[in-house]
Amino acid sequence: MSRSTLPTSTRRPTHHHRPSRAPIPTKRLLVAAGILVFLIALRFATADAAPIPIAAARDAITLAISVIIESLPFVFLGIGLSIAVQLWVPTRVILRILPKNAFGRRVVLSFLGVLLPVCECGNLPLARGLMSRGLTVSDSVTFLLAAPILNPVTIITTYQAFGWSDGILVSRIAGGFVIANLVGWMISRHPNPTNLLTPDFAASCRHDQAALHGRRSRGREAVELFSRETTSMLPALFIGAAIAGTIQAAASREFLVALGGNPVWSVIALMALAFVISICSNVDAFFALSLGSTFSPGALIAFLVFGPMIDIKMLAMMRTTFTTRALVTLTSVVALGALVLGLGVNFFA
Amino acid sequence: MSSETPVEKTSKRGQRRDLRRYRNTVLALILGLSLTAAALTTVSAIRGPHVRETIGDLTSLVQRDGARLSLRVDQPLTDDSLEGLTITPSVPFDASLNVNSIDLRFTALLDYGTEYRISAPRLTGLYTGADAPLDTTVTTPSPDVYTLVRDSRIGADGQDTPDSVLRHRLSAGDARNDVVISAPRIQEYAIASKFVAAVILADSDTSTTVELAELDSTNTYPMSLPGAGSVRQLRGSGASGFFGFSFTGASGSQAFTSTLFVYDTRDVSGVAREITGLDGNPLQVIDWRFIPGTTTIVAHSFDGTFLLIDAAGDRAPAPLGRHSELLGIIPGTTTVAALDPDGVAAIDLTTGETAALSLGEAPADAGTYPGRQVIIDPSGANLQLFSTPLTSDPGGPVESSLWRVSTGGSQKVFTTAAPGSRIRDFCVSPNRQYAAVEVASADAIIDDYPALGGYEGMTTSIVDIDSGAVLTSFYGFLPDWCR
Repeated sequence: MSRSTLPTSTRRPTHHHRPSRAPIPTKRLLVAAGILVFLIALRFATADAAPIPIAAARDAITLAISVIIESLPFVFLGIGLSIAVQLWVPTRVILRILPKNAFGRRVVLSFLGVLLPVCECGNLPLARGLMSRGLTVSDSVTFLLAAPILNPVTIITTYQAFGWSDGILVSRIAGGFVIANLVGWMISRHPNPTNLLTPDFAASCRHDQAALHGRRSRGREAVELFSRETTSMLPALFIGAAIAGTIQAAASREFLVALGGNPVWSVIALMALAFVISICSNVDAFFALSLGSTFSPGALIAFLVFGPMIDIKMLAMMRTTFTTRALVTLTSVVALGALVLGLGVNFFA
Repeated sequence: MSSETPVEKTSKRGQRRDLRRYRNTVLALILGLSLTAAALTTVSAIRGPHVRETIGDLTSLVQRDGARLSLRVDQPLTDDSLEGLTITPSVPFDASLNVNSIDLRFTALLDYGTEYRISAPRLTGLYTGADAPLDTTVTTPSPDVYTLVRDSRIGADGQDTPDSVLRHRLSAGDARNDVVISAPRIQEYAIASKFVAAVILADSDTSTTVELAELDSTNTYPMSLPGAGSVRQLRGSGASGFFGFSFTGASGSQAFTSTLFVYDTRDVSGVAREITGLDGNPLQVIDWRFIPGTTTIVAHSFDGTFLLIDAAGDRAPAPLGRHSELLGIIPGTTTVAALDPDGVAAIDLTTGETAALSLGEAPADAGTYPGRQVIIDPSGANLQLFSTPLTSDPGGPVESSLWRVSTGGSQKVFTTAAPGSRIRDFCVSPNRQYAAVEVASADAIIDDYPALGGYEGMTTSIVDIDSGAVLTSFYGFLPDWCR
């Protein structure tokens, strides 16, 4: 039985002052210095090695930029919606229209993407906004995982690409819904879900709740929210896109395609591909269509369900909000859920 | 000694219990999903390959030589998986392996409405090593056949009973038919895509109109013609949705004589467009044909030149040489059969090459008077009509028979059952399997239509060319296979 967790705002005392800009932590400086030292050491250690091919580097940069260009409009759209929700939709309205029952609330939030059809990278700021407005972590995670799949743009593009063939569309919708709600239910079992959030984000949630009672103008508040969200999201997006681009250029696509012939490895291979290429859920169906002749339907479904929920870019962005341990748990359950879905479709279809 | 109060201790214990419960939930979830994934992995790995999907246009299997079908298997196969591959009933084919797909190319046309079983003793997975037999079936479609019924009877209301185009099901024992278009006097008709077009005679029989209807709708609408005049040689292109006809008449000051026009059912303007010849002027044709299923036309122009024309584009026509008569398109091919003074030529439109066809000779006892000849395959095998007078009276009854003639031998395919009844015309199904034979009874009266004259009360028999068996008979004549 699912336990109805209280909104985060009711769990912590509120603070009526804005946290001052925190000084750069020593730990981060040490990590940055460590990376710099590692890179310098690597440069000296590989001085005689063959240089990185320019074409591969160019491919990596092109791929990274393509991920950024594809994601950026949705990030800004998501931030805009997030600000609108945080500033202009009263908490009581959100809480009133959602079912009181935790399970029912998560089900309704799974379909919120129908009204707010943004890509997964735009859903993160929106999910952060929902948490700032008092929704529980499990509610927001359910929305975060379900919305990239259960939204009209994704559904229509998937239909355009595959129609009703092999049950890909139906499996994607049903699989996305079930996995999102499964993860939401799992998180709802946590005695203190706020512990799954990074301290910085938890603090900002508390501040946002406190700011509800403040008297600052909404315009100024919107600018501050925009500044804070872009400061959090964009570096994460750039880092995620850079990693995705590098791995795509380095990993042999032929190797992934060779795996595609095996009914089991094909599912794992496409999940790995989805994780690496970090393609937007609104267009990923057309990418998957190009793999349709090589990969099994189960592999395609795993690609279309796992990718929108978890990929390198999303993990980098989600790390701004969730602790590493929470992300490991969440990623494990989503990956296993997508794997079971893909294998099940391959076996029973 | 602890400084915590009992209440704080209880609260901490409760928190620890709740946290333990959460961790147990996570572990149970991960364990359950892992076990399920492991079970599915195991059963997937030991199960042999199986066909996931059959890819290909089944209609093309009964329309075109060299049609392809792919069996998509759920995993790549070893090269020896195709050993022992058979298809029942037997049909010539080539098979090749393409990673996880068995590609079949049929080198002959398949029969209508037939279930073909594709079997192989052992398909072996390239990576899993698991094997399983192949046993799958495909069923070819049975097309609808259309006939024209010219009805001269007077109805109970004192009015002429209208003529109709009937749709029939091509399967033995299925006598259903339905009217797809009807009008007072239909001279001819054609089918293209999901449309039927009918040439309607005006009261004076000197001019015609053309009515269009969707096959599954009773609504009709007129085709916009170039002007007042007469439409002949109406033909449909099949799936590509074009109609074509030769038009004789006038539009204002411009006169047309047997000028070729095409009408695109997808063109919202609804206006028929004239085809131009090599000189850029409207093309006057003796005869013409669509290459079935395409928008390509082969026309026999007034000056004797054969032209290859793209009805959908603006490209200039390509000349195919001069010939005496356009015999038709050989079923299942893109080869045109043309009659020349020294014999029959086959023009392969894919290569542009022309070759002489050896048609073979019918036995001397086939009949007294040889009639129309229809070439049914690229080897030159053909069907030929023969008539033998039953009396010495020149206008007396005749016996009609249809023969399959080839260089390898000849055989009688069909003869009229009742003495004196006659074969008006015949044609071959697109897959060369059947002949549609129009039969008029001995006492049938010739109708009074100005073109494509027929007899009252005609029937069309569908005859298996190989066995001579009559599959079924329909009321009416001018089957759409002949259009």
